[in-house]
Amino acid sequence: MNSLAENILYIYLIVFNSMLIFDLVSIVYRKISDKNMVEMTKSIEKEIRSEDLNSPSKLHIKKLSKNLKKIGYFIAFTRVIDNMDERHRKIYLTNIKMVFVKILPHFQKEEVIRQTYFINFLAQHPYIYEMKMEQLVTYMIQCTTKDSVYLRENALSALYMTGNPNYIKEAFYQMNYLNIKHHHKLITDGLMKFRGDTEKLADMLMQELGNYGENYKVACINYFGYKKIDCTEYLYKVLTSKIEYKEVKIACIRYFSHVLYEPVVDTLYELIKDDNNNWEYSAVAATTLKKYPNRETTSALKDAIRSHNWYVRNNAAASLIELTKKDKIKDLITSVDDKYAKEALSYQLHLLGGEA
Amino acid sequence: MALEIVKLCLKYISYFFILYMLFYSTFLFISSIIGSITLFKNRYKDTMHNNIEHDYYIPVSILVPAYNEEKVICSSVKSLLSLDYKLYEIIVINDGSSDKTLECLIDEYSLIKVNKPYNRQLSTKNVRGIYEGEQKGIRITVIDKENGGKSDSLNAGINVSKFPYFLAMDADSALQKDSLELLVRPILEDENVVACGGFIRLSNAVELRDGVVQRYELPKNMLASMQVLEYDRSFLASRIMLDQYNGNLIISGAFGLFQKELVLACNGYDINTVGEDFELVSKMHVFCKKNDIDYSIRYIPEAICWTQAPEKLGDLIKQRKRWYIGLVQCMIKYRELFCNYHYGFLSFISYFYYLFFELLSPFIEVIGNITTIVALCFGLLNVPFMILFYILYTLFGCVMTLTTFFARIYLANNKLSFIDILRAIYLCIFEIVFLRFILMVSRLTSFIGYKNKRMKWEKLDRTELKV
Repeated sequence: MNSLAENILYIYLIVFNSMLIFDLVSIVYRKISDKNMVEMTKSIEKEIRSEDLNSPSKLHIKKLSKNLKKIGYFIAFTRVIDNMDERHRKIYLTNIKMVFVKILPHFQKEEVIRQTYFINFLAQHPYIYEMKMEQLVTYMIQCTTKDSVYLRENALSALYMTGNPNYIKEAFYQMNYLNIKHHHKLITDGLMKFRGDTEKLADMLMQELGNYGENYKVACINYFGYKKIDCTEYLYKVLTSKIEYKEVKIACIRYFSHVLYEPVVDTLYELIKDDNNNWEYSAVAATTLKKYPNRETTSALKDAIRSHNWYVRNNAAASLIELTKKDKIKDLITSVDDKYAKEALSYQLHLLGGEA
Repeated sequence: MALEIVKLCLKYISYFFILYMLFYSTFLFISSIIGSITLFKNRYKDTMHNNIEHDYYIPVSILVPAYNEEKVICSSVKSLLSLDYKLYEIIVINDGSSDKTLECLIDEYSLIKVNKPYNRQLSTKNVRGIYEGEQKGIRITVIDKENGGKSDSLNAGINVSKFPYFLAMDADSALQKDSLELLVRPILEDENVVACGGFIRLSNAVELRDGVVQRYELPKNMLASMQVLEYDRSFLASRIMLDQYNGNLIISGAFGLFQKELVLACNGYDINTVGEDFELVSKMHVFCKKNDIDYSIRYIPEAICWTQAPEKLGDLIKQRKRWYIGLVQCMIKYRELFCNYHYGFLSFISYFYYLFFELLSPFIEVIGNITTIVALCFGLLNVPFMILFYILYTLFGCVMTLTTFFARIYLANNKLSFIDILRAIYLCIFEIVFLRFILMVSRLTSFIGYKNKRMKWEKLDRTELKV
């Protein structure tokens, strides 16, 4: 028993000491690395200041090619670059862009977190890779299929900055082919930041849309809607297709509230009626229909405010109030005999600033 | 013969205790190490731009149940209005307060009564009225309902909310400017994320302005200071470790983001339990596993919510009794998680942890103390070993606590005065010796008088939030 007791004490002592060592080592490590970072930043800043930004010396480029492989040096270098004014930064980075091609093979072998950092740096400074830097772009496209969402997102951001739709096409093709899950909101948001010709991008995406899976289709259709890109005929076919994904069809219905297309109205009337089987379609159609004002729309919405589904009823009420002339709204509310429909209409009127 | 039996019993009991304490210490050790490493790794990732910064965020309804919160409710809503987030609504649920909670909100935010239709998907106590207004483009809704408890209030909030995700929080809490954004990020990173919990920190001596910490120090009140250390250890160690394998059985009711659709599928909050936060998360785990849903419940230590710690011993005991009752109810309700291979680590690590180191720990501690006394009476106690063991155990606990405390201080960039550093060091000894004893007693006595007040809100002394 005594030896067991002693052994337990020893175990405790070992664990206790390892914890203490862990604490001390981490404190010392943090202190040293913080100090080193400040020193390194100063030294890089001094060195760059001594260089001619339009024509950096071979020695400087050689030194950068060697040192930028070290992540600590890269971070310090980024801090210096961030402190430069835009004009000088652009001149300097454009003149040392070969350095990034040289260090590329090193980063390709690095851990994902560091690759992300490298890609992020490039995305922040697109003039490094936008002119004939195929190696860097190829690497970015490869990164869009990696497991890390951060690496993918940074790589996509860098590609959007190129303004070249073909790069986006290639990246989406690979991501879709490998079934990479990347949130459609991130994709749509990213596409909105595309720097090049949006019409060319939209043409390319439309051509490719049929090949994409649900996630990429939804992202692209949302993008078309926000940018008001006319692909009405094509999306009308998608909406009326019997084999299309539900989320894609919902994105199409939303699209038709951004870009108007009269032939879609009959389909919307059918969808709004079908609140038993597909209430999601009905609810979105009820909102979209407010963009297509006419007598039939009003009639369809009047039916929909009696729907047993809360979302359909509410959305229909909101649309109906928007479509009704101010002086007729009270008559409309009075004429409705359904208690829930009346309630929904009154509330929507209140939201518009009228008396509930 | 009797002595022999006592000796044999004590021998096996001592083996059990040695194993128990070894397991507990090892768990603490591993979880503290993992917690600290994860925090450093997260900071490293942030430095290396391994994060998502987008304008396009997921809309969120913030639900704030309130019962007699006139002192804090307006400042709490004010803190929510300073959030750095694109699209959200604030819904306060006044659960039949007898003070001026409702009037304060109506006056402060110029709310008007509306006849708002809402989707009664979860049954709740009668809603007396709904008030609405807008500040800085953010819609504020107050639901005035009959008293039904916190779960009932949250269910009413879910019914009225319009966005697909909701954030449940306490009325005495305040969020940092970036908290909501940080809590939503995991959903953008992984669509299977159905709930996210953040880090609860104690605001007793903290000053927030527009969602940014202006001044941070340890509270002057000793009880509150000890709770600061306790919270850091609990949130930064065990929860981060359990998060490594999707094993957190609780998201604090003071700060949790949930996917509304799944919560509705689980029938919302259970009104018959006092540990509604524990119950909901356990229920979501069981529901998703049974229905083969790919899901993930995440813990985000960088998303911070500031809340008030009780400064009076009576309040603390009341609070902890309630937590313990909630724990017992949920552990019994979800006993299928015990030793069930279908749930994997959730069963064999998380459930075991809560069962042995939380639920049974007060009983085990009492048995341990009785055994020590019996052993002493029979002259069977190795006194020097016992003393050494206790000293070492206390020191060990202190080092663990201080590790998580200072890791958190460093990573949150909070500046701590030299006096506060010294206070933290000696308070962690008090926390282990004094606070844990109090908590043990309050847990043991938690069911006394429970039936009479199980649906009532826990009322603690509040001070005005400095936001």
